[in-house]
Amino acid sequence: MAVAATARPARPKTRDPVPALAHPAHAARAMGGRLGIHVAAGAGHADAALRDARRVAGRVLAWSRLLTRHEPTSPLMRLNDDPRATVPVRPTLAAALAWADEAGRMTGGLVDVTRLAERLAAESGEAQAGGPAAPTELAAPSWRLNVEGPRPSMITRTPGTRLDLDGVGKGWIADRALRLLDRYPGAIVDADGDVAVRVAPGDRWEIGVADPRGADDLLAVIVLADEPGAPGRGPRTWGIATSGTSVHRFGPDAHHLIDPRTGRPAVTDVVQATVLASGAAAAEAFAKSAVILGSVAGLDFLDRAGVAGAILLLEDGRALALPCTSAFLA
Amino acid sequence: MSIRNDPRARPAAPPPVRASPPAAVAGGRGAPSARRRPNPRPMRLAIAGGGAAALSALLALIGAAALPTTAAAPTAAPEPAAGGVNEVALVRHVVRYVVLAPGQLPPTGVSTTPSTVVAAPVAAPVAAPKPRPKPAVVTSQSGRP
Repeated sequence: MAVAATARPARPKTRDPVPALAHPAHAARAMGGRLGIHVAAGAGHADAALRDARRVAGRVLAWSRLLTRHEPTSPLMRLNDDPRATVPVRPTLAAALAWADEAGRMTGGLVDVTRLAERLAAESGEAQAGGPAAPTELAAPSWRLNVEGPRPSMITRTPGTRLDLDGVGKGWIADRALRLLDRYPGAIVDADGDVAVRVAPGDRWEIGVADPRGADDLLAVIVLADEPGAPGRGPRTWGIATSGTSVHRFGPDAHHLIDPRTGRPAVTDVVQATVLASGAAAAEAFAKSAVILGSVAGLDFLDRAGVAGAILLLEDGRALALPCTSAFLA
Repeated sequence: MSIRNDPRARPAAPPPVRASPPAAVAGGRGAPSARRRPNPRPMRLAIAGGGAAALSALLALIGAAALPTTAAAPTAAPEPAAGGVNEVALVRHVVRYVVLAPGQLPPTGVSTTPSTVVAAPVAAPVAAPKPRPKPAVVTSQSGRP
């Protein structure tokens, strides 16, 4: 028996519907600034996500106490005060130091965590920006970390080397805290401006870039989205970090970003650099390097480093962005 | 057996000769009148002269393309027609840098840059963000109040 075929309209191919996401957030004070944790959680999981956000905030506080130079009894400061050349270090401090070592290599030595004495001199107003006309070659690192072999890890230093993780710690902490929220489809950890982001399928985050000239002004808004046509589409981890010379100022020519080639606050035409990269730690290291290098060499450095985006605010008021940044601007 | 020595073999055909025009028979009736061949020399000279001129023009074009340009004036994009929509995609060609050869001088009025200056990648000015609710997350310099 012949069966008449029934004409059935073709069903349009559409994406699977994105489940509704809740975005609970927890805010706290940490690391001398603000800490914000935002979670993209499925419906019915918002309460659990908020509890986890608070738990992660507690871990961030604990890590920051291990790595701070502002507490004389912190493991970092005890290490700095230890007269031995080789000293054992605990796992969290060893992991942060391992990242500091990697950041130094990634930036050709511009990120140098051994500049505590120079930074303290800048903070006291004794050191002003400047230095030799031609920056000197960077010296080999004065410390070496051995994280392989039996625990605990050991650090070996040239006598007198004192370490300062202020310039690399927040981005590293943001990335580490974001990994603690892996069970949720998306999350943001904002460690006082250094932001680690994971975008949930079908979700989008908007991150403002602060304009240092106005309390609530924005230079730009960066959109990280898992949407059709969005760059780098798909659940993905990002990092956005900002560094600059306009907040921590200790005199007309003194700020906290030490150029390791001169040992003094960097002479630069960049007031602020914001970098979008694959992680907050890398973004922080690249942003700091761009400020130290200045706009011409800094943009070239960021371009060669392959960052996903960068916005530089210059002394003359211009805001410049690498061309790749435009795909992320709102 | 050699064919050449075979008496049955047909005699070899005479070598082809170019057909020559029939000789003119003076006063002969019915015979076509003799036509004088044109002198080829003027035509050959004309063709040779034309070829030399074409080759000269080609060489001049190649030489002009190989020489460094000293003018760096941007070519302005054409304005769209007044009152209408210009649907043709505008292509703007801008000469950014011209390297002067040793001993070569720039034209007057052209700014020059020492070759030691590092050229930065092209960066675009950032437009002010459109008015929208302030994002909940803002990246900023650490320690910002």
